[in-house]
Amino acid sequence: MTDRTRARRGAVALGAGLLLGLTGCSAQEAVQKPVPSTAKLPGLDVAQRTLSDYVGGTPGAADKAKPPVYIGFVTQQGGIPSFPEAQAAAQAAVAFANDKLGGVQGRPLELVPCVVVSAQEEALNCAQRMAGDERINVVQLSLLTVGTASVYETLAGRKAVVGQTPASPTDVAARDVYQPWPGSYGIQGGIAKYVAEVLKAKNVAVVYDGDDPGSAFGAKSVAAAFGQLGVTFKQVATQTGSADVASALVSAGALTADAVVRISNTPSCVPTARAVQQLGVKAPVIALDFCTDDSVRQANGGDLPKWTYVGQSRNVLSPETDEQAAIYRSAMEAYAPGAKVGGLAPYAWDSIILDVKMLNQLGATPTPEQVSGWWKGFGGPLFLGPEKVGCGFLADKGLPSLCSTTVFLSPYLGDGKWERSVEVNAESIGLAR
Amino acid sequence: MTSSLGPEQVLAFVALGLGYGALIAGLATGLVVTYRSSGVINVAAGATAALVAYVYSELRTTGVPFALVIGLVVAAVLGALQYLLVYRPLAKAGPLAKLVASSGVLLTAQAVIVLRWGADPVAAPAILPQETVDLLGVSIPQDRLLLAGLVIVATALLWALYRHTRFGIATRATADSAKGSVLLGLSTGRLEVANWVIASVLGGLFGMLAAPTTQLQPTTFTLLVVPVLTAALLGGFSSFGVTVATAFGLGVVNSLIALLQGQSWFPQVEGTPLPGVTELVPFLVLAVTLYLRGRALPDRLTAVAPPMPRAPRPRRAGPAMAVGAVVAVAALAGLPFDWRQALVNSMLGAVLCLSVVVTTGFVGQISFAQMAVAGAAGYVMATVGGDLGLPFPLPPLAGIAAAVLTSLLFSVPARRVRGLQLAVLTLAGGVAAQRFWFGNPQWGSGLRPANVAPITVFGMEISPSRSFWGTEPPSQGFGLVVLAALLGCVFLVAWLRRSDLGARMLAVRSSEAAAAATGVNVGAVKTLAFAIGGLLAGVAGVLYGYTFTGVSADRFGPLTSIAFFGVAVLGGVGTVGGALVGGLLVAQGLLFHAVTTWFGIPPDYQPLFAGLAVVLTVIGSPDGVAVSVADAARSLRVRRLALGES
Repeated sequence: MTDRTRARRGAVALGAGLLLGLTGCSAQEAVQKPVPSTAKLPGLDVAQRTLSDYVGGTPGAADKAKPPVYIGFVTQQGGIPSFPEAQAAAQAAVAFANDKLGGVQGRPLELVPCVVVSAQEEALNCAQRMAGDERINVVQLSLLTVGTASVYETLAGRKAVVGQTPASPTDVAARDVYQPWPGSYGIQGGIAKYVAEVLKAKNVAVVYDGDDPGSAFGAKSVAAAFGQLGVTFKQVATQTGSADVASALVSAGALTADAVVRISNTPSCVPTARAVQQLGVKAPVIALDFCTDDSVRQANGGDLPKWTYVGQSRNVLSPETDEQAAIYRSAMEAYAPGAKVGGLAPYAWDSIILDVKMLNQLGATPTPEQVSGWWKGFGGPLFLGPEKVGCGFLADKGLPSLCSTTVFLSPYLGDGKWERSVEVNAESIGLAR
Repeated sequence: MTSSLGPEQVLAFVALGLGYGALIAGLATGLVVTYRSSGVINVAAGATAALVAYVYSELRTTGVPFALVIGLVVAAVLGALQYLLVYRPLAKAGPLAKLVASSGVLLTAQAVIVLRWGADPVAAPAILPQETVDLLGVSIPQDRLLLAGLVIVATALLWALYRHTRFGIATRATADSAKGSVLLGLSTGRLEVANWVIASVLGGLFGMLAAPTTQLQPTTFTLLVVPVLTAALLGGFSSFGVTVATAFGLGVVNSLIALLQGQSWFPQVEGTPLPGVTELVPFLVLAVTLYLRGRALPDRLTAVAPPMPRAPRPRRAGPAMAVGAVVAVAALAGLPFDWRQALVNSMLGAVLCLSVVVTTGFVGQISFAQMAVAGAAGYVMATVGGDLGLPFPLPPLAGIAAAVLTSLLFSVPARRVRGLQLAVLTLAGGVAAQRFWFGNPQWGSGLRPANVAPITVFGMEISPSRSFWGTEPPSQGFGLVVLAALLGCVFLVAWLRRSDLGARMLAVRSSEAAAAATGVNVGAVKTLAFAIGGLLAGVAGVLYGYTFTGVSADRFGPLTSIAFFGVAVLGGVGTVGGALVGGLLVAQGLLFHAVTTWFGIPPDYQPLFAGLAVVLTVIGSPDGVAVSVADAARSLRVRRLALGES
């Protein structure tokens, strides 16, 4: 063996070793993320009692001898962005429903997951797979950032499709598909109403991630909402994860504003927190609940920035101040211990609970028309959301899929303490397709 | 401090932009080092730096001592491994193959990050002090200024290293003439590996230092590929000083655009500042600069045309098309739904690859803009069919016309800018088009996908989701439409290669000066090639819009453009067969579907598989799979003939 061959083999072995070491099975366990305290959570008996009433089920386990009821579940993970917590929470909800809520009319519920990594082709493939699977009558979507148009088109008339939270205007314009959670359509109006009516701010600085479609859409909506409410504002775009947030904050007038609104995904939260601190911004900061991620807590010296966070669901990080959030956390602790409880997890978990409620009423094999009709007639509450919803209530504004525009704003006090959430219904403020 | 426009404010924003500029500069200087030593435009530099920063972050959070030193060692090992495993086997390959290999490394590094640390952001522990200094009435974070200072120091050291040391002079000598260096007794391999280590350590160091300012996410540094390439390109991939100055300039421009957005006169769209300006301005600066500088750039980039894969005349194209058509129809009729969709994806990919065959394979213009050109077709088709409500076939025709016009726009700089410069310019142009056009609510579709109405002929709807021959989606009828379009495009490209125009294109590719000397109108030939390439990309864009019932801006980002160009090169950019092989290789195409299905590769591991497949394929077939297969078949025939004679 020559020196060159030996060196090449050595390099290959080293490369393979490095790759295996980095991607090895210890991956996620090696870096355990801190999970907020669960010391005061209610017992599972409370969760069983409350949720059995909610879904109209029989407390107890589903009969495993009976044929399962299958639900298709399309989710996005493995690429960028990735929401693995959605499937984990959905599976936890299924296990909880089968163990404690009697499944669906006594039959065990089973998820048929299909994963979109990052391509439209994968979303289309998932839709075609669901369309051709005779076991499936209902397809539950989790949040997809790609390919939703072809998913709706492929499944239309073939399967009942239930949305979760809209990621784009395509989601709210889909025919006979309803989105229980409002996404940007509630959040931006909610922020505007909170800033105008609770904080009484007259002059607001808005900084958003211009290269992120969701954030840019949010900026557009918040502009419309502030316009309606007569609040003066200045908007400046920055780029996702950019170190250069300070420029944008100063340019938007954050140093003299009555309130600062930051519309972004998680990667921009820490640069924003640093810039806010370094610039000495005094005004209250309102940010999306993406910024409550553990990575933000870690990077911010072990605690979240003392901002007000806006989310579509009740504040699941604060079980002390919200009974439903505590029950959710209790169920997650039992059926998905150590899993992420924030991000998309609450919406995915609640979506499955809602599916159980719907199937208990419609039976295991509903038609698309029956499912659509059920949602139209569903007035609420969402277990982790508002008391009242009304699917299609904004159809005349070109948003037929939307069921609610209510969001929750939670001021964070530091050291793990929260104020009770303020529930704000944005109604039609600032809504734009 | 207010955000009104005074000299103090402008200076303060200039200072605020230094941090971003320093990050670009740190990565761009590494790019210059690898290009000078190995001729590789390393688009994976950002991803490698991110990987090092992730390792450092994990070491710090788990309390491992000497984390910074270990991080630097990891960076050095990654640099050495990249060279030994990927670029050394490609030493004799052309720059296209090396560029594609680096895109494979990018995908691999990014996939490793997602598998190990997930796609969620990870906290990056700070190395530099986080306090602020008061400058012109605004608090400037110290770490930005220190980072900028460190970049300048590192640049000075690099300059001294390559200017005054034996190692640096040897590296420059090797870059100028590898053969001459060998004759002088220099070990080119050792020099190159040392340079890769330097570049990787440099990138890793600035990655670790800058990560706390951005927080770590898999694409945080990778998405800087366009500004990093811009800085390195304007530095001629040789001058550290110009590269760093350009990088700081880009950082400052970025910061000043933020300042301008806060002004009342800044153009607004639906209450928000006009999107895409941050991407458009650097692209325009780059385009104008390169255009004006014309041929004045260093020889390695322009005067010597990069070697291109062979482009033989197609033989027996007619019978091959007929056989292919029969096989494809049978496959559409008999395959299950997932394989049928994979076939449609492959045919779509092949049409787009054909456009690369014309612009790059035939006329030698490395254009990353084909995805953007396809996007233009999709967006215009959506507008004409949706907003204007015009009937079929006007929307697709308008879309294809728009694609031709867009491609012709890219042909303007191609008259004076060529080779790898054009590659970077078209990549930046594609990103500018994505953000300024497609993502603009006023003249693109904004943030929502633009809906595309299905094909309707005599009241019959032909779309992927409609039932055809009574089967489940995807519809075979739509598959036949895609097949017909592919056959038409194949015929066009095969005819082009056999025509006089094709011969003139190859003459231009071989040597523009020689072609001009023999009376070939080089500019006109390039323009025609871009027009035909645009037409083919337009057909692909239209079909893509129909397949997914809409087009969305995120389809045309820089990483997608790089990845797609890589697939086209892997198939083979010189031949029609290469384009068809490229089609098989596209994400969710037939080959991808076959491998992931048969070997049960889980979705989480598919990006890693794709990255490694790109690297291994380009090492095995640097001229493209189609050329390797043809060579193997030819060898077999020769051997048989020899056996028969004996």
